[in-house]
Amino acid sequence: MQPIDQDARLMLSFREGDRDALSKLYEKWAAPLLRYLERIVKNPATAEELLQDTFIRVHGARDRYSPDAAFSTWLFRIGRNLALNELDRARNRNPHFTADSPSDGDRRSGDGSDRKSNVVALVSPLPAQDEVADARREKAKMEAALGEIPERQRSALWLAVVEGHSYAEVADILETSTASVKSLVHRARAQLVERMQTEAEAAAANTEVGR
Amino acid sequence: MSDDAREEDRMDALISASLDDALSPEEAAELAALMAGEGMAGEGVSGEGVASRAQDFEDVDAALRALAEEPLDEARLEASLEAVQERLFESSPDAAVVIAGEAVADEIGVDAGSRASGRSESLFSRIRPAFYGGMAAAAAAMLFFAVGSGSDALRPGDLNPGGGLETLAEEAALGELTDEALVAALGYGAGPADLSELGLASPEDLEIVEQLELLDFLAAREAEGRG
Repeated sequence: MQPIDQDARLMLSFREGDRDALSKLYEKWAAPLLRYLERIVKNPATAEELLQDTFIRVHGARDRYSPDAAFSTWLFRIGRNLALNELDRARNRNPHFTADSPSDGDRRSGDGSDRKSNVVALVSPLPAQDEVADARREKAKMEAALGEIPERQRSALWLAVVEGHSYAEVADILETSTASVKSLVHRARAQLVERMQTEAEAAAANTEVGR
Repeated sequence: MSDDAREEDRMDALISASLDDALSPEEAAELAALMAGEGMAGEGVSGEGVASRAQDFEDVDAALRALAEEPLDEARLEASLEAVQERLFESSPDAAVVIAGEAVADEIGVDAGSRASGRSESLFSRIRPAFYGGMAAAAAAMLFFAVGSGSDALRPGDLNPGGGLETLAEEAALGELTDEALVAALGYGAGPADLSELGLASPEDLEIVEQLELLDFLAAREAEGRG
């Protein structure tokens, strides 16, 4: 029999009535889950609500939790499905809605109106040699590029590279095959390289024009 | 897709899988051959091309990880945890039952149809306070009407033995009417257990509640405008 990990043990304790166990799971997984949800819905406030909803669902489904699967896989799958539902609802409310539309949250985090690197370059008062400003610009560009690729590619890449999930775990979260995840991840990487290169070329062209 | 593009796509797939330690032995051999400048005919696919592409992918990965290193506001996370605990442990047991029902769809993924039914439950949970408020107001109106018309079907004290009709109406308006009195006044059953939210909320009920909410909203806005 496979040994169960700490998260699974906590979940089983929670199932037995130990409320602190849920808080411990929250402490461990809330931040990574929130970051992931922000990448899907692109709005910090909505992502926060979804984070809460996800743990409410975990509570509700505690009796059906099986330690055979990693807790984090189960958690992220619930969170993603809730986020997709939320995007559906937003589209139903506003047929012109896209998750790429700049929101208040996006603006707050600097990845909404600053989507285009040439805009970033033009509005930034800091010189290129300023490393902090450079790093901030690069992050804004990557965030924008990430937001432009299809959600499944974005999810697959984020879960594999940032969260360190195996392809099999990502497949479990996205409810697809491992082969499909492999393809989603490689296409996501290729698209991001292409977008970042296009952005860099546009920024270089803007610099030339500015001289 | 041209042959060159197909070869480059294959190279991307191999490099990407290698970065994630997800190469099969055959794929590992194929990638090794590419890196040695063998295997594919396309111009973009050479030993140097592979190394350069691998560097591009690694840069993307590093940039992604940098995004995740941005510190999250601890206060946000704590506030969310408090909200979760409040919603879970300070709400009624009935609410937890409804939540458990919804979780199944979220675990297995939901199609558009089942999402739609989930939305109607969610809609009710959002307007629940207004719904009960509306019901309370309706109960008060019914009681006034019953007394005003001389009906003996409802008498002061029948539903609220501890107080008169005025008290009951006042409680209804303030939203302080007891569940027992409200349920009995509306004829939905003998006690709060019969106030099952899923059974009680018909589309017509929800429409009335929405209209009441809209009226409240318009009245509030008008009052603000005057102020």
